[in-house]
Amino acid sequence: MDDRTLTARALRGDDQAFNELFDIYFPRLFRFALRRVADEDAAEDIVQSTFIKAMRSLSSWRGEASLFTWLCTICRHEVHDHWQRLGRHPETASADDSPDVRSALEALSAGGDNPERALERAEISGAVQLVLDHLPGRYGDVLEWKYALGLSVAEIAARLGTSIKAAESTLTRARLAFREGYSSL
Amino acid sequence: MTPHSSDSSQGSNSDLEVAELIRAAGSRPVPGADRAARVRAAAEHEWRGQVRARRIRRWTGGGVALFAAAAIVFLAVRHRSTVAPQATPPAPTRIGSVAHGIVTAEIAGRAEVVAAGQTIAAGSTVRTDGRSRATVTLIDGGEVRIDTNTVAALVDARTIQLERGAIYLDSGATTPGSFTVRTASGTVRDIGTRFEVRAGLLRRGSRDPGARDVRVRVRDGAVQLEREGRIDRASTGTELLAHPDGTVSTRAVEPFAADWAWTTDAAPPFVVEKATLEAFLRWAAREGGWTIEWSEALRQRARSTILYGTIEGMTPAEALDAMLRTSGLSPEFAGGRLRLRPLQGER
Repeated sequence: MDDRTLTARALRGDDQAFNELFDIYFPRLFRFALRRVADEDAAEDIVQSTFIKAMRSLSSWRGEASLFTWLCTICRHEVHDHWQRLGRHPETASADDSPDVRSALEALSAGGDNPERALERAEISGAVQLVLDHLPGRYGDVLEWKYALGLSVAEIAARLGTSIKAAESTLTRARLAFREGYSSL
Repeated sequence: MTPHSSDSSQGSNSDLEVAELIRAAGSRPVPGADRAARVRAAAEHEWRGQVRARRIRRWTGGGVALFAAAAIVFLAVRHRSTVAPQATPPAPTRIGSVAHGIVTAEIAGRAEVVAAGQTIAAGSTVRTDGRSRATVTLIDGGEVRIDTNTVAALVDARTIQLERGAIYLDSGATTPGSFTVRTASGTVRDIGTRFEVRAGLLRRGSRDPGARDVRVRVRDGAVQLEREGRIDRASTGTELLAHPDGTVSTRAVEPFAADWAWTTDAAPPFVVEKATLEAFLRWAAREGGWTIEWSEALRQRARSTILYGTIEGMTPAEALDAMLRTSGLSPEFAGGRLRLRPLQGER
């Protein structure tokens, strides 16, 4: 289900769409928040507020940016409020808070052209996981299932609820998107 | 080709680089199931409220005729309310509590996360996600173990409506009355037993949303499955599979088979610390589906042996192995029998 279909169905009260939306974006948002606050309990509170606000204004998402980019914008505000409540500021900014990288990752989420700026001194695993989180749809998941978990294409197809051929195509597109995203960092 | 790859589309050097890079980076960290359950419950509560509000807004935007109809209903309700003040709804009846794991319980449109030690009210619909299992201990005795991805309404202390997924019921030795499990494809009643009911088994891979099926496995005791005027009975070690076309097939299922492993995973772990070896062995045998065979001398020895440590995360077989190694006993499995003997050199 693409983002537009997912949100349209969730707005109509479709349980399956809500569950899919949550399952796809909760782990990604949690990591997004955790990179900024370095505290799992705080990240949980932030992501919970993010989801509640997102559910309230889901009908306002128009699809100009990807759904994940939109959710990240809400989450970023929640992170900001978190630091304000503590009266402190984060000691380090997360890699995907850099305006250059953010625009690169947003371009990635939208499936656009290669961003130009490079992210310097990023650790490989951190950068790879960052790119996986920002790939559109379930590309990040299928690449992780395939290469990090070693699932077969048939197993991936079963998880996606698609045919093996469709899963192979998704993997091909996901690899392409990953290459473009990673080379832009 | 790499050891992991099996798809023909992956072959170029750059594809292999992608594979290597992701493999080297490893899996992304995953937030814990309890965190996911809490956030999901809060988000779902908000989402359902918004969906309801949107429906009301759409409905009230329907025109003058609808408004007039609503006004009549409103006046009727107002008029009635002046005659008989609206009674406060009775507090929901408590039917049990979560003994292990975490579930989302929804009642009267309100969902909340219920963790171990918290109570469950009659009429609650409990849900588990893809990573969580749980056990609900019932106030009248017996327990319900809930597998992952399950939705079940606890109608009362003896009736469960299974929407999807699987539950395992242990009616306990002294529980009065029987359990009734209703599914879309039939009703299962027990006669003092431990059994599993799984609904929607065939639907998972089926494109037909109307496909209805239910599977019942009896670990001990007996149950009956009622559907469309037909009654099928199953006793210890039997599986009934009711197909969408109305037919029912039967096959044998070992009470000690690995298929039951999820039920131990859903249950509270056995507390080893300061328990007797005998209590542990009885727990392991019950969870593993084995019958213990041991000499009276060994049983006495197990009764006086006190254990320390933890077996959390182990299967009954792994826990047995770990405990017996340190207790001078050797297990031997033969079918569903667990024979215990002293280790060589021990008396």
